[in-house]
Amino acid sequence: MSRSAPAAALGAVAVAALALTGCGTVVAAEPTGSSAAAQITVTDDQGREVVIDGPVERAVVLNSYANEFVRAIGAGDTVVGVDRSSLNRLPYLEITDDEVIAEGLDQINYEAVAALEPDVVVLPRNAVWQEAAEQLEGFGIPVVVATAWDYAVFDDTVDLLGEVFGAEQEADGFQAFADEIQEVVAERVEGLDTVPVYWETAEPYLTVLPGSGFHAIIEAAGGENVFAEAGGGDVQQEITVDPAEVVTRDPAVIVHEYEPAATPTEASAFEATRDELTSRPGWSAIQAVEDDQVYVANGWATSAIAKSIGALYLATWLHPEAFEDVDPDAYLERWVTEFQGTDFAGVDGYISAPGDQG
Amino acid sequence: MSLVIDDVRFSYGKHLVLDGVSLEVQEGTFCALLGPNGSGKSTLTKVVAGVHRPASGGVRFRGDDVLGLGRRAHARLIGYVPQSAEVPFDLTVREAVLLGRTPHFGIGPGRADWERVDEAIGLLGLEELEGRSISQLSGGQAQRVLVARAIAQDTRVLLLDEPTSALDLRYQIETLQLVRQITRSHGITALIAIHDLNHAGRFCDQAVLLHRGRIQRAGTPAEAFDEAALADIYGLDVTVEERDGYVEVRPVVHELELQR
Amino acid sequence: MTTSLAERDAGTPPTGRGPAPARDDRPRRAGAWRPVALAAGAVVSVLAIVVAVTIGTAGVTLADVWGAILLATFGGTLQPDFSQAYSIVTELRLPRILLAFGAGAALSVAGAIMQGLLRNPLVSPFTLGVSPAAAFGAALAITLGGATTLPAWVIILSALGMALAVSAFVLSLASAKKMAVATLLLLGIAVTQLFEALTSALQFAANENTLQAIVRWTFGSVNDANWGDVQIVWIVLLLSLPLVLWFAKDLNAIAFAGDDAAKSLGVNVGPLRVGLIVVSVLLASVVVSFCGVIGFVGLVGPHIARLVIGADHRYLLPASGLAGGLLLLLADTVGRTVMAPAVIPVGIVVAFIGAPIFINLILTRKTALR
Repeated sequence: MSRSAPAAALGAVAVAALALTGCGTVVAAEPTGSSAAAQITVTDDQGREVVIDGPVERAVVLNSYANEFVRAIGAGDTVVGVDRSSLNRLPYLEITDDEVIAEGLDQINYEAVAALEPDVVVLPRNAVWQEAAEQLEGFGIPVVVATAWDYAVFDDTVDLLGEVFGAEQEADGFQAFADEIQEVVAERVEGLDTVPVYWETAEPYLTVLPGSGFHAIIEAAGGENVFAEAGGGDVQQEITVDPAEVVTRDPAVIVHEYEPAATPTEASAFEATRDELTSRPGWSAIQAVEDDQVYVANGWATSAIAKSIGALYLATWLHPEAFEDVDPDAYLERWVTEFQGTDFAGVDGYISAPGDQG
Repeated sequence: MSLVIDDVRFSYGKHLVLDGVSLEVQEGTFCALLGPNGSGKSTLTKVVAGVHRPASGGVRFRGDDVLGLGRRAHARLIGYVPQSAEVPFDLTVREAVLLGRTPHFGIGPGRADWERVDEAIGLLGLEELEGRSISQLSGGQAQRVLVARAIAQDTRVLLLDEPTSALDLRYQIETLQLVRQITRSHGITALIAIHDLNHAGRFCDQAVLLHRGRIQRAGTPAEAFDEAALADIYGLDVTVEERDGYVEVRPVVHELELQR
Repeated sequence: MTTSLAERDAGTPPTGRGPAPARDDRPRRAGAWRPVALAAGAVVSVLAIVVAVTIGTAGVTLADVWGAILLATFGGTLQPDFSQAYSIVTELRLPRILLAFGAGAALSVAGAIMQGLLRNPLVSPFTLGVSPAAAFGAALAITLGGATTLPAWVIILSALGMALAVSAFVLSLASAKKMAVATLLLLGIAVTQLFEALTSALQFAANENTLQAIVRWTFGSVNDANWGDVQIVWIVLLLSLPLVLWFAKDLNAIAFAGDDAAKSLGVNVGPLRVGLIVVSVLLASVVVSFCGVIGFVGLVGPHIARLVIGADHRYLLPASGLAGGLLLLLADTVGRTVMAPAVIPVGIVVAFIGAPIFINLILTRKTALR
């Protein structure tokens, strides 16, 4: 008798809850005066067929590379919501704080997304896209997976975004720019001897393996990744290596790349990183350190356009004689002013080459 | 009309603890199980209490098989007071005594159950403590709560497993007095595993001496306490004499000489 | 005090059978307020759920909530201007709030059962390593089966299987050491570390797609709540509750009197213990399969309930459910408002609330850990 009361109370709550899942038949009233939308059907990064009521006038885009691409195809003004990390990296996005709908790629605030009433949500494959698709289904908001950080699917991603935003021509123009850079590099490094390179990403001794976009740009730039044959990389094909191994493999060029940030890096920060790199125990014996071939870069520049800009810079560092007539800074400036539509603060905020200081 | 233990054998793994124990306790009397550590007296109470299943042998009460009863029916017939019980939760005395009614009610206790609880609390003089948490009680008070629990269980047979070993002298005597009174006033048959021969001799009607899982001597304390037998069982010379109508056992203390 | 008792002992001859006259008027007094307290707790819970539905980034009024519930229950025509509020209430807020409450209640009831069975207020599905093991089971199923193709029940079964195996392992090892508290907790730490490492190892080997599905299990979150999750968690909870309440008085005997005395009180200790542990592990595993590992609720929920309603499991079990449900509901509401629009996973928030309570519980324990 005494136990039935709480059970009944719990039962009442549950019955009410479960009733909500399927009892009543809810019919949506015909939306009046909505523009007869042209439907756009795309196949996304995960092979999903997604139907969007176009044209896309409001979009929520997660991941900074995707936001760069959307701006590069001239659709930046349709973006009404992004993740915090995109806004931190790209402060030139025309987004206010209350249009930030997630900190990173999980824990998306779906009601904030719904409140923005977007026509589409774009997120990369390492975001919680299944969950997002499920949660936003009830609002009729389609979810498109587009993975702009993956250099291997660059062409597909640009095509996909072109279709989604109805900007096929601009997408072609963006692709042509990328092709131009890649050709400049490819034709000049062909037949040259490769140079051993150690590429370090955000953390000390965190380097890259085949499969990573950074490995690809080393190869493209006529270099040779000193850890090319190592195994055991993580999901991004990155691996933390034994410091002694770097010394043993004796690279001729060392590159350390920061996380991307459009805000220019302070010269003192570059210098501190270079000092830290060259003073690591045993590193004085490395050829790159002896020859003063240690470069530090802001990923906003070197990872731009699926790392094409990075490949160009690296090629000029590895084979300066072959690139005497090429000015990589000009390409970077074009990317920033023409494709990102923001002011170029000068190359010194993004690239620190050994001769720069002093 | 008696509790009969018939050729009970029990072992922990390969270690034989009870090796054919047979015993009869008249209803309404107080019987002491005595013997050194490891003699099997505690185990015997647990077998009768239904905590352990014997390998062979039987227990009968008023001629009916006890071991074949279901757990609840068994628990309505035979109550058990363990040595001590540490309770890791805050429980009031009244709630602790109510546990004794577990075999009697279904989901929740009824009026009759609470009446039994109040009666047991009254019998053990715990009224002023009944709202107190048992973690705040002294050892003697906590032991009385355990006895009250067994009283509330309202059984015909009461088993006590060394209930006095943790108590000071006054509470030892009080507990034994109380159990003896219950056997007299309620006609309950009580079986106690106890260390102190003199306490057993003073309060119990029957004394059973166990050694290595067998009964060595049984009878009234005066019959059971035989100097030679006790010396053999405990490995210590004793003298047995009568004082104020009760037998009393005293060790004969020689110069210190550790055995073997 | 002791003296007066002794005097009464000495002076009062034992009464015969039959109730003592002075006590007749109040034989059932004890615990009469408890059903009332439980009912009040249930009412508070319903109110808390309703209030929580109105709280959030997108403005939704109480009237919107009521309108949405009526519409969803009885059907009708959804007007375009109500469409967004309706979807926010029925698709996002209600599922997540009911999942948070149900998950908190399930974990807390699971904790209360384990604490009673093991006679130890410091154990929970989390401290015994059951939750991390369930998380590993879920992650393993996702890695082997792929995140998109696998039906939910496979993940649940895998989580449950791993959790049952681990609890059997931990409890059998601990029983060899007489279930000493230190042994249990140390085994729990070892198992937790092991399974967290195993889950990390799976993450290392996973592709991006599987990875984001696994990562969801490493911290507790209800951000992906849907009605399917809510249904399963509540069905398991509501089937378990009457079952455990039926055996609550037997659980009382084990918890308060110990195994031997419980047997002598007519309780089938062995089968009951196994059965209740299975129920407890099931409750915890189902929650972990949907929400990931949420610590502290299974520990702190029963503790709060015990402070309010006492240790009697007939009241403690439902009260633990209410306390755990409210705790997780509060934590989730804080998590999705305090840094809005950012959503802080409920597992993180609840740790901030739960850890201090747990530390307090250890420090104020009357008996030292043994």
